[in-house]
Amino acid sequence: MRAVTAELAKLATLPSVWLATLLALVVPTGIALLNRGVPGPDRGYQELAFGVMGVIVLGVVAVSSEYLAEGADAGGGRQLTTSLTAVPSRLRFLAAKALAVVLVAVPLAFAATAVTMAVVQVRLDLGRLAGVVCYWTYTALLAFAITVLLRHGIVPLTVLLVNTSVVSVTYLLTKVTPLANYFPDMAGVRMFVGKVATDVVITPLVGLLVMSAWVAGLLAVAGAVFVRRDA
Amino acid sequence: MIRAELSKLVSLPATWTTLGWTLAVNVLLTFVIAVGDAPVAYSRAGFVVLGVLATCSEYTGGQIRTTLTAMPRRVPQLVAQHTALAALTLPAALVVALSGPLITLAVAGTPVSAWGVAETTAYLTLLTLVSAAVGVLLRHTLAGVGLLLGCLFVAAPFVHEYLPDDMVTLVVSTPVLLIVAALTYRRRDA
Repeated sequence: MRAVTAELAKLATLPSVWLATLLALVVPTGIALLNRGVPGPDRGYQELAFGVMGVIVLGVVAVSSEYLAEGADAGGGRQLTTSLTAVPSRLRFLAAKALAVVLVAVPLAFAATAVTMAVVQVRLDLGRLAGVVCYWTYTALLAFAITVLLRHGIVPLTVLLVNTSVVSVTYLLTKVTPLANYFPDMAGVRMFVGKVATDVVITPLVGLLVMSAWVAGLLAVAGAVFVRRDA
Repeated sequence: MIRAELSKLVSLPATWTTLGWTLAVNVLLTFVIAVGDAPVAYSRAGFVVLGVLATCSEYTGGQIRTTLTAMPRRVPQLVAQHTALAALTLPAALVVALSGPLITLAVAGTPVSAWGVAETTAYLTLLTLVSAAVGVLLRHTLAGVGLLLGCLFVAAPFVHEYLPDDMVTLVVSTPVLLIVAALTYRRRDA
C-alpha cells in the first residue's frame, strides 16, 4: 500500500501527467463540440473512443519517466534505480505502479465522460458508460505494459497515438483480414460504440473479454520480462 | 557550421532507426492497404519523430552547452541546424514518397505521378522542420512528439473543414514556427 502511495506521488509530480489529464478532458469534449450538429446513435461515445489520447500519455509516461536518464550534471542516473532500491521486489513495484495508473485513469475517465456527455446531451446508458471507463482504463494499462517492454516512451507513444486517428491503422487492417477485428482497440470500442463499419459482429461482452485478454496477456509478459531483465 | 550540425545528426543512432522504421512501415502499409501514397498519412509520424529528436537530442545530456560554446551565435546555429536537417530529410523523404507509388506501379501498373511524389517529399520535409521548431520550443522529446501527433492525427481530422489545404497550412506555419523558435531560442537560457 505504501508503494502505491509512493507511485501516486510520483505520478502527481510529473508535469506530463497533468498534461495528460488536461488532454483527457479537452480532447473528447473539443471533438464533441465540433461535431455537435451531426446526429447519430453514437454521439458522445464516438468522441470518447477517439479521445483516449490522455490516458495513452498517462500510461506511457508513468513508465518512461523511470527510464529517462538525467543530464550528466545531475548524475546521469535514472529514477528506476532509486525506485527499485526502495521497493526491491520487482513484481510488487510493477503492481503498485499499474495500480497507481488505474487509480488515476478511472477518475479521469469518469470526468471526461461526464464533461463530454454534458456537451452532447444524449440519453445516458449505464452499461455503455461503464464500457467507456473500462476502455479508457484498459488503454492506459496497454500503453503501460508496452512501455515496460520497450523501456522507452517514443515508440509506444507514436504507434498508439497514430492509431487513435479517425481512420486507425487497425481499422484499415480489418479490410485485409477479419482477424484484425480482434485487436484490443477494435474489440474494445464494441463495449460502447454500436455502429462500427466492419462485417464482423462482436457483442459488447465479447469485446470486453477480448480486450481484457489482451491487457492481461501484455501485463503478464511485461511482468515476466521486468522480473528477469537487468533494470 | 552546417557540416558540424550534419555530422551530429548523422552520428545519432536514433536518426537511422527512425528513418529505417518509417520506410519499413511505409512499405508494409503499402502492401496492406495497397493505394499509392496513402500510407504516408500514417508514416509521416516517423518524420515528426525525426524532427523533434534532431533538436531535442541537444537537451538530453549537456550537448547544448558544447554546441553553444562552439557556435555562440544562437540564430546562425539554429539556422545551420535546420539546414542540416533539411539536407538530411529531403533525400529520405524522397525515398519514402517514392516507395509507395513504385510498389503500386510494380503490383498494379498504375503510373507514378512525378508531381505527386514531389508534393509528398516537400510535405514531409516541411513537416520535419516544423517538428524541429516545436522541439526547440519544448526541449522535451516526448512532449513534442505527443503534442504534434495529437494535432496531426487526433485534432486535424476534426478541424479540417475550418482550415485550408494541408499543404497550405504547412507552408504558412513552417516559417512562423521557425521564427518563433528562433526568437525564443535567442532570449532563453540554454
